Amino acid sequence: MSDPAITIDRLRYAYRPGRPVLRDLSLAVPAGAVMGFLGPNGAGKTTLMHLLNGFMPPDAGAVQVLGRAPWRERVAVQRRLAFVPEHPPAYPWLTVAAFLAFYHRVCPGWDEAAVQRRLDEAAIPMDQPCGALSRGQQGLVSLAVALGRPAEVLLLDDPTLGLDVLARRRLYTAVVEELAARAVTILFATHLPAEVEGVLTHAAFVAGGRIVTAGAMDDLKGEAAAAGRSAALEDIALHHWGGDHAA
Amino acid sequence: MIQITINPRSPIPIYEQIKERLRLLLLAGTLAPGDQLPSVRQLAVQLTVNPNTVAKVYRELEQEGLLANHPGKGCFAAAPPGGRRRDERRTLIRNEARALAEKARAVGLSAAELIAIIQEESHE
Repeated sequence: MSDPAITIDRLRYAYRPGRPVLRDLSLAVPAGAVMGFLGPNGAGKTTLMHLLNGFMPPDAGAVQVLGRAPWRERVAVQRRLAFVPEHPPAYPWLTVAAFLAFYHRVCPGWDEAAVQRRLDEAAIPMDQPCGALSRGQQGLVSLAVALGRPAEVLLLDDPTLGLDVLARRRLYTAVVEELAARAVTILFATHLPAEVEGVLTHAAFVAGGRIVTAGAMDDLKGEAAAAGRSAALEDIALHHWGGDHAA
Repeated sequence: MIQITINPRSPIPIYEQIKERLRLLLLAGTLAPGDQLPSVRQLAVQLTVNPNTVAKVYRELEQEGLLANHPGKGCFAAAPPGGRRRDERRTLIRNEARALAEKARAVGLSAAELIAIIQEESHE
Protein backbone atom coordinates (compact mmCIF):
# COMPACT_ATOMS: atom_id res chain seq x y z
CA MET A 1 0.00 0.00 0.00
CA SER A 2 1.45 3.33 -1.03
CA ASP A 3 1.41 6.42 1.17
CA PRO A 4 -1.79 8.48 1.18
CA ALA A 5 -1.76 11.41 -1.26
CA ILE A 6 -3.20 13.67 1.44
CA THR A 7 -2.73 13.30 5.18
CA ILE A 8 -4.45 15.58 7.68
CA ASP A 9 -3.64 15.11 11.35
CA ARG A 10 -5.56 16.84 14.18
CA LEU A 11 -5.85 19.99 12.11
CA ARG A 12 -7.15 23.10 13.79
CA TYR A 13 -7.92 26.45 12.22
CA ALA A 14 -9.77 29.58 13.31
CA TYR A 15 -10.24 32.84 11.39
CA ARG A 16 -11.07 34.53 14.71
CA PRO A 17 -9.64 33.51 18.10
CA GLY A 18 -11.97 31.22 19.99
CA ARG A 19 -14.14 30.49 16.90
CA PRO A 20 -12.47 27.44 15.34
CA VAL A 21 -13.76 26.39 11.90
CA LEU A 22 -11.77 23.15 11.97
CA ARG A 23 -11.29 21.26 15.24
CA ASP A 24 -8.85 18.36 15.37
CA LEU A 25 -9.77 17.24 11.87
CA SER A 26 -7.97 14.07 10.75
CA LEU A 27 -8.28 12.43 7.34
CA ALA A 28 -6.21 10.37 4.91
CA VAL A 29 -6.94 10.35 1.17
CA PRO A 30 -5.39 7.25 -0.41
CA ALA A 31 -3.33 7.76 -3.57
CA GLY A 32 -5.56 7.27 -6.61
CA ALA A 33 -8.79 7.73 -4.63
CA VAL A 34 -11.65 9.96 -5.69
CA MET A 35 -12.97 11.07 -2.32
CA GLY A 36 -16.27 12.88 -1.98
CA PHE A 37 -16.13 15.56 0.70
CA LEU A 38 -19.57 16.28 2.09
CA GLY A 39 -20.62 18.71 4.75
CA PRO A 40 -23.39 21.20 5.48
CA ASN A 41 -22.75 24.87 4.69
CA GLY A 42 -20.18 26.30 7.09
CA ALA A 43 -18.72 22.88 7.93
CA GLY A 44 -15.22 24.03 6.97
CA LYS A 45 -14.87 22.44 3.52
CA THR A 46 -13.47 25.54 1.81
CA THR A 47 -11.16 26.30 4.76
CA LEU A 48 -9.69 22.81 4.46
CA MET A 49 -9.22 23.27 0.70
CA HIS A 50 -7.37 26.53 1.32
CA LEU A 51 -5.11 24.89 3.93
CA LEU A 52 -4.33 22.09 1.44
CA ASN A 53 -3.35 24.78 -1.07
CA GLY A 54 -1.05 26.41 1.46
CA PHE A 55 -2.93 29.72 1.39
CA MET A 56 -2.44 29.97 5.18
CA PRO A 57 -0.70 27.93 7.89
CA PRO A 58 -2.65 25.65 10.26
CA ASP A 59 -3.15 26.89 13.84
CA ALA A 60 -2.32 23.39 15.09
CA GLY A 61 -1.93 19.92 13.66
CA ALA A 62 -0.44 18.97 10.31
CA VAL A 63 -1.39 18.86 6.64
CA GLN A 64 0.60 16.97 4.04
CA VAL A 65 0.05 16.80 0.30
CA LEU A 66 2.23 14.19 -1.42
CA GLY A 67 4.41 14.11 1.68
CA ARG A 68 4.98 17.88 1.87
CA ALA A 69 3.53 20.65 4.01
CA PRO A 70 1.68 23.06 1.64
CA TRP A 71 2.38 26.20 3.70
CA ARG A 72 6.12 25.64 4.15
CA GLU A 73 6.75 24.06 0.73
CA ARG A 74 4.14 25.91 -1.25
CA VAL A 75 5.94 26.01 -4.60
CA ALA A 76 6.76 22.29 -4.50
CA VAL A 77 3.16 21.41 -3.59
CA GLN A 78 1.54 23.85 -6.05
CA ARG A 79 3.49 22.27 -8.89
CA ARG A 80 1.76 18.92 -8.29
CA LEU A 81 -1.65 20.15 -7.21
CA ALA A 82 -4.55 21.74 -9.08
CA PHE A 83 -7.48 23.54 -7.49
CA VAL A 84 -10.92 24.45 -8.76
CA PRO A 85 -12.21 27.05 -6.30
CA GLU A 86 -15.81 27.54 -5.28
CA HIS A 87 -15.76 31.05 -6.70
CA PRO A 88 -13.72 31.31 -9.89
CA PRO A 89 -10.86 33.75 -9.22
CA ALA A 90 -10.66 34.80 -12.86
CA TYR A 91 -9.74 38.49 -12.99
CA PRO A 92 -12.92 39.95 -14.46
CA TRP A 93 -11.18 42.39 -16.78
CA LEU A 94 -8.82 39.80 -18.34
CA THR A 95 -9.99 38.12 -21.53
CA VAL A 96 -10.15 34.32 -21.42
CA ALA A 97 -7.21 34.23 -23.86
CA ALA A 98 -5.07 36.48 -21.64
CA PHE A 99 -6.03 34.47 -18.56
CA LEU A 100 -4.89 31.25 -20.25
CA ALA A 101 -1.70 32.87 -21.55
CA PHE A 102 -0.78 33.70 -17.96
CA TYR A 103 -1.18 30.07 -16.87
CA HIS A 104 0.65 28.89 -19.97
CA ARG A 105 3.67 30.95 -18.86
CA VAL A 106 3.72 29.90 -15.20
CA CYS A 107 2.65 26.23 -15.33
CA PRO A 108 5.23 23.62 -16.31
CA GLY A 109 3.71 20.86 -18.46
CA TRP A 110 0.84 23.06 -19.66
CA ASP A 111 -1.21 21.27 -22.35
CA GLU A 112 -2.46 24.14 -24.49
CA ALA A 113 -4.20 21.83 -27.00
CA ALA A 114 -6.22 20.04 -24.29
CA VAL A 115 -7.27 23.31 -22.67
CA GLN A 116 -8.28 24.78 -26.03
CA ARG A 117 -10.26 21.65 -26.94
CA ARG A 118 -12.23 21.80 -23.67
CA LEU A 119 -13.03 25.47 -24.09
CA ASP A 120 -14.02 24.99 -27.75
CA GLU A 121 -16.36 22.12 -26.80
CA ALA A 122 -18.07 24.39 -24.30
CA ALA A 123 -18.12 27.25 -26.85
CA ILE A 124 -16.31 29.63 -24.47
CA PRO A 125 -15.59 32.94 -26.26
CA MET A 126 -11.82 33.49 -25.96
CA ASP A 127 -11.95 37.23 -26.64
CA GLN A 128 -14.47 38.01 -23.89
CA PRO A 129 -13.44 39.37 -20.48
CA CYS A 130 -13.77 36.61 -17.85
CA GLY A 131 -16.19 38.87 -15.96
CA ALA A 132 -18.61 38.80 -18.91
CA LEU A 133 -18.91 35.00 -18.84
CA SER A 134 -21.82 33.18 -17.23
CA ARG A 135 -21.25 31.39 -13.93
CA GLY A 136 -21.21 28.07 -15.79
CA GLN A 137 -18.67 29.30 -18.34
CA GLN A 138 -16.43 30.65 -15.55
CA GLY A 139 -16.59 27.28 -13.80
CA LEU A 140 -15.58 25.48 -16.99
CA VAL A 141 -12.67 27.91 -17.53
CA SER A 142 -11.51 27.19 -13.94
CA LEU A 143 -11.72 23.46 -14.55
CA ALA A 144 -9.96 23.65 -17.94
CA VAL A 145 -7.14 25.61 -16.28
CA ALA A 146 -6.91 23.08 -13.42
CA LEU A 147 -6.76 20.19 -15.90
CA GLY A 148 -4.33 22.07 -18.13
CA ARG A 149 -1.35 20.42 -16.48
CA PRO A 150 -0.86 16.87 -15.23
CA ALA A 151 -1.31 17.57 -11.50
CA GLU A 152 -1.21 14.50 -9.27
CA VAL A 153 -3.77 15.88 -6.83
CA LEU A 154 -6.94 17.67 -7.89
CA LEU A 155 -9.01 19.62 -5.36
CA LEU A 156 -12.56 20.46 -6.42
CA ASP A 157 -14.34 22.86 -4.08
CA ASP A 158 -17.99 22.43 -5.01
CA PRO A 159 -17.29 23.32 -8.65
CA THR A 160 -20.93 22.84 -9.71
CA LEU A 161 -22.29 25.62 -7.51
CA GLY A 162 -24.53 27.78 -9.71
CA LEU A 163 -23.95 25.65 -12.81
CA ASP A 164 -26.88 24.54 -15.00
CA VAL A 165 -27.37 20.90 -15.88
CA LEU A 166 -25.45 21.14 -19.18
CA ALA A 167 -22.44 22.86 -17.61
CA ARG A 168 -22.45 20.28 -14.79
CA ARG A 169 -22.54 17.45 -17.30
CA ARG A 170 -19.55 18.98 -19.15
CA LEU A 171 -17.67 19.28 -15.87
CA TYR A 172 -18.34 15.66 -14.87
CA THR A 173 -17.35 14.46 -18.35
CA ALA A 174 -14.04 16.33 -18.09
CA VAL A 175 -13.35 14.77 -14.67
CA VAL A 176 -14.22 11.23 -15.83
CA GLU A 177 -12.06 11.64 -18.97
CA GLU A 178 -9.19 12.85 -16.82
CA LEU A 179 -9.54 9.75 -14.61
CA ALA A 180 -9.58 7.54 -17.72
CA ALA A 181 -6.43 9.20 -19.05
CA ARG A 182 -4.12 9.13 -16.03
CA ALA A 183 -3.64 8.40 -12.34
CA VAL A 184 -4.87 11.30 -10.22
CA THR A 185 -6.10 11.67 -6.64
CA ILE A 186 -9.22 13.82 -6.25
CA LEU A 187 -10.84 15.44 -3.23
CA PHE A 188 -14.29 16.46 -4.45
CA ALA A 189 -16.38 18.73 -2.23
CA THR A 190 -19.96 18.77 -3.53
CA HIS A 191 -23.47 19.71 -2.51
CA LEU A 192 -24.85 17.35 -5.18
CA PRO A 193 -23.61 13.92 -4.05
CA ALA A 194 -26.21 12.02 -6.10
CA GLU A 195 -24.67 13.33 -9.32
CA VAL A 196 -21.13 12.18 -8.61
CA GLU A 197 -21.38 9.19 -6.35
CA GLY A 198 -20.62 6.81 -9.20
CA VAL A 199 -17.27 8.50 -9.71
CA LEU A 200 -16.29 8.33 -6.04
CA THR A 201 -14.21 5.55 -4.52
CA HIS A 202 -14.36 7.06 -1.02
CA ALA A 203 -16.39 9.60 0.92
CA ALA A 204 -15.77 11.72 4.00
CA PHE A 205 -18.50 13.47 5.96
CA VAL A 206 -17.60 16.61 7.86
CA ALA A 207 -19.70 18.43 10.44
CA GLY A 208 -18.78 20.92 13.12
CA GLY A 209 -15.18 21.13 11.87
CA ARG A 210 -14.51 17.42 12.32
CA ILE A 211 -14.68 14.31 10.14
CA VAL A 212 -17.73 12.39 11.30
CA THR A 213 -17.14 9.33 9.15
CA ALA A 214 -14.89 8.47 6.22
CA GLY A 215 -14.43 5.29 4.25
CA ALA A 216 -14.61 3.39 0.99
CA MET A 217 -17.92 3.79 -0.85
CA ASP A 218 -18.69 0.06 -0.92
CA ASP A 219 -18.10 -0.16 2.86
CA LEU A 220 -20.27 2.90 3.58
CA LYS A 221 -23.07 1.55 1.38
CA GLY A 222 -22.73 -1.92 2.85
CA GLU A 223 -23.04 -0.58 6.40
CA ALA A 224 -26.10 1.49 5.50
CA ALA A 225 -27.79 -1.46 3.80
CA ALA A 226 -26.96 -3.82 6.70
CA ALA A 227 -28.65 -1.33 9.05
CA GLY A 228 -31.71 -1.22 6.81
CA ARG A 229 -31.05 2.37 5.66
CA SER A 230 -30.89 3.82 2.13
CA ALA A 231 -27.50 3.27 0.51
CA ALA A 232 -27.66 6.55 -1.41
CA LEU A 233 -24.67 8.72 -0.52
CA GLU A 234 -26.94 11.68 0.24
CA ASP A 235 -28.93 9.63 2.77
CA ILE A 236 -25.75 8.22 4.31
CA ALA A 237 -24.47 11.79 4.72
CA LEU A 238 -27.71 12.95 6.35
CA HIS A 239 -27.56 10.01 8.71
CA HIS A 240 -23.99 10.78 9.78
CA TRP A 241 -24.53 14.50 10.14
CA GLY A 242 -27.59 13.77 12.26
CA GLY A 243 -29.78 16.14 14.27
CA ASP A 244 -29.23 19.83 13.58
CA HIS A 245 -27.14 19.16 10.49
CA ALA A 246 -29.81 17.07 8.79
CA ALA A 247 -31.71 20.08 7.46
CA MET B 1 -26.03 3.69 -26.83
CA ILE B 2 -26.36 0.91 -24.25
CA GLN B 3 -29.30 1.39 -21.92
CA ILE B 4 -28.03 1.11 -18.36
CA THR B 5 -29.46 2.87 -15.36
CA ILE B 6 -27.81 2.95 -11.97
CA ASN B 7 -29.83 3.09 -8.78
CA PRO B 8 -27.80 4.98 -6.18
CA ARG B 9 -30.22 4.04 -3.38
CA SER B 10 -29.53 0.37 -3.97
CA PRO B 11 -27.23 -1.43 -1.55
CA ILE B 12 -25.81 -3.27 -4.57
CA PRO B 13 -22.40 -1.76 -5.47
CA ILE B 14 -22.45 0.25 -8.70
CA TYR B 15 -19.97 -2.08 -10.37
CA GLU B 16 -22.29 -5.03 -9.73
CA GLN B 17 -25.29 -3.11 -11.07
CA ILE B 18 -23.44 -2.37 -14.30
CA LYS B 19 -22.10 -5.90 -14.53
CA GLU B 20 -25.52 -7.54 -14.05
CA ARG B 21 -27.11 -5.24 -16.62
CA LEU B 22 -24.39 -5.97 -19.20
CA ARG B 23 -24.58 -9.68 -18.44
CA LEU B 24 -28.31 -9.55 -19.10
CA LEU B 25 -27.82 -7.71 -22.42
CA LEU B 26 -25.15 -10.23 -23.45
CA LEU B 27 -27.06 -13.36 -22.42
CA ALA B 28 -30.30 -12.12 -23.93
CA GLY B 29 -28.50 -11.44 -27.20
CA THR B 30 -29.32 -7.72 -27.21
CA LEU B 31 -25.57 -7.47 -27.53
CA ALA B 32 -24.92 -10.19 -30.12
CA PRO B 33 -21.57 -11.95 -30.58
CA GLY B 34 -19.24 -9.60 -32.45
CA ASP B 35 -21.05 -6.41 -31.39
CA GLN B 36 -18.65 -3.76 -30.15
CA LEU B 37 -19.15 -2.37 -26.68
CA PRO B 38 -18.48 1.26 -25.83
CA SER B 39 -14.94 1.93 -24.65
CA VAL B 40 -14.27 2.13 -20.92
CA ARG B 41 -13.98 5.89 -21.28
CA GLN B 42 -17.24 6.24 -23.26
CA LEU B 43 -19.32 4.14 -20.86
CA ALA B 44 -17.77 5.85 -17.81
CA VAL B 45 -18.69 9.25 -19.26
CA GLN B 46 -22.21 8.09 -20.22
CA LEU B 47 -22.91 6.79 -16.71
CA THR B 48 -20.78 9.35 -14.82
CA VAL B 49 -18.91 6.57 -13.05
CA ASN B 50 -15.26 6.00 -12.29
CA PRO B 51 -13.50 4.49 -15.35
CA ASN B 52 -11.85 1.94 -13.02
CA THR B 53 -15.33 0.61 -12.21
CA VAL B 54 -16.15 0.03 -15.88
CA ALA B 55 -12.69 -1.49 -16.48
CA LYS B 56 -13.30 -3.91 -13.59
CA VAL B 57 -16.70 -4.93 -15.03
CA TYR B 58 -15.20 -5.52 -18.49
CA ARG B 59 -12.32 -7.54 -16.98
CA GLU B 60 -14.68 -9.78 -15.04
CA LEU B 61 -17.07 -10.32 -17.96
CA GLU B 62 -14.05 -11.17 -20.09
CA GLN B 63 -12.98 -13.76 -17.52
CA GLU B 64 -16.49 -15.23 -17.70
CA GLY B 65 -16.09 -15.54 -21.45
CA LEU B 66 -18.90 -13.12 -22.25
CA LEU B 67 -16.62 -10.40 -23.62
CA ALA B 68 -13.48 -10.47 -25.73
CA ASN B 69 -11.01 -7.63 -25.46
CA HIS B 70 -8.94 -6.97 -28.56
CA PRO B 71 -6.23 -4.52 -27.51
CA GLY B 72 -6.19 -1.55 -29.83
CA LYS B 73 -9.60 -2.39 -31.34
CA GLY B 74 -11.92 -2.51 -28.35
CA CYS B 75 -14.22 -4.78 -26.44
CA PHE B 76 -16.66 -7.11 -28.22
CA ALA B 77 -19.47 -9.46 -27.22
CA ALA B 78 -17.98 -12.96 -27.35
CA ALA B 79 -19.35 -15.97 -29.21
CA PRO B 80 -21.10 -18.33 -26.76
CA PRO B 81 -18.79 -21.01 -25.36
CA GLY B 82 -20.88 -24.08 -26.31
CA GLY B 83 -24.14 -24.53 -24.45
CA ARG B 84 -23.06 -22.64 -21.39
CA ARG B 85 -25.12 -19.61 -22.18
CA ARG B 86 -28.39 -21.55 -22.27
CA ASP B 87 -27.78 -22.70 -18.68
CA GLU B 88 -26.94 -19.17 -17.67
CA ARG B 89 -30.00 -17.81 -19.39
CA ARG B 90 -32.16 -20.30 -17.50
CA THR B 91 -30.51 -19.34 -14.21
CA LEU B 92 -31.02 -15.69 -14.95
CA ILE B 93 -34.73 -16.12 -15.69
CA ARG B 94 -35.15 -18.53 -12.77
CA ASN B 95 -33.89 -15.83 -10.39
CA GLU B 96 -36.36 -13.34 -11.84
CA ALA B 97 -39.12 -15.97 -11.68
CA ARG B 98 -38.44 -16.63 -8.01
CA ALA B 99 -38.81 -12.93 -7.20
CA LEU B 100 -41.95 -12.76 -9.34
CA ALA B 101 -43.47 -15.82 -7.64
CA GLU B 102 -42.89 -14.21 -4.24
CA LYS B 103 -44.56 -11.01 -5.40
CA ALA B 104 -47.52 -12.95 -6.82
CA ARG B 105 -47.93 -14.73 -3.48
CA ALA B 106 -47.73 -11.44 -1.63
CA VAL B 107 -50.56 -9.91 -3.66
CA GLY B 108 -52.59 -13.11 -3.47
CA LEU B 109 -52.28 -14.46 -7.03
CA SER B 110 -52.17 -18.20 -7.61
CA ALA B 111 -49.36 -19.87 -9.56
CA ALA B 112 -51.86 -20.59 -12.36
CA GLU B 113 -52.78 -16.92 -12.59
CA LEU B 114 -49.10 -15.94 -12.69
CA ILE B 115 -48.42 -18.43 -15.48
CA ALA B 116 -51.42 -17.09 -17.41
CA ILE B 117 -50.04 -13.56 -17.16
CA ILE B 118 -46.60 -14.69 -18.35
CA GLN B 119 -48.21 -16.48 -21.30
CA GLU B 120 -50.19 -13.38 -22.23
CA GLU B 121 -47.07 -11.26 -22.10
CA SER B 122 -45.01 -13.78 -24.09
CA HIS B 123 -47.54 -13.84 -26.97
CA GLU B 124 -47.77 -10.09 -27.36
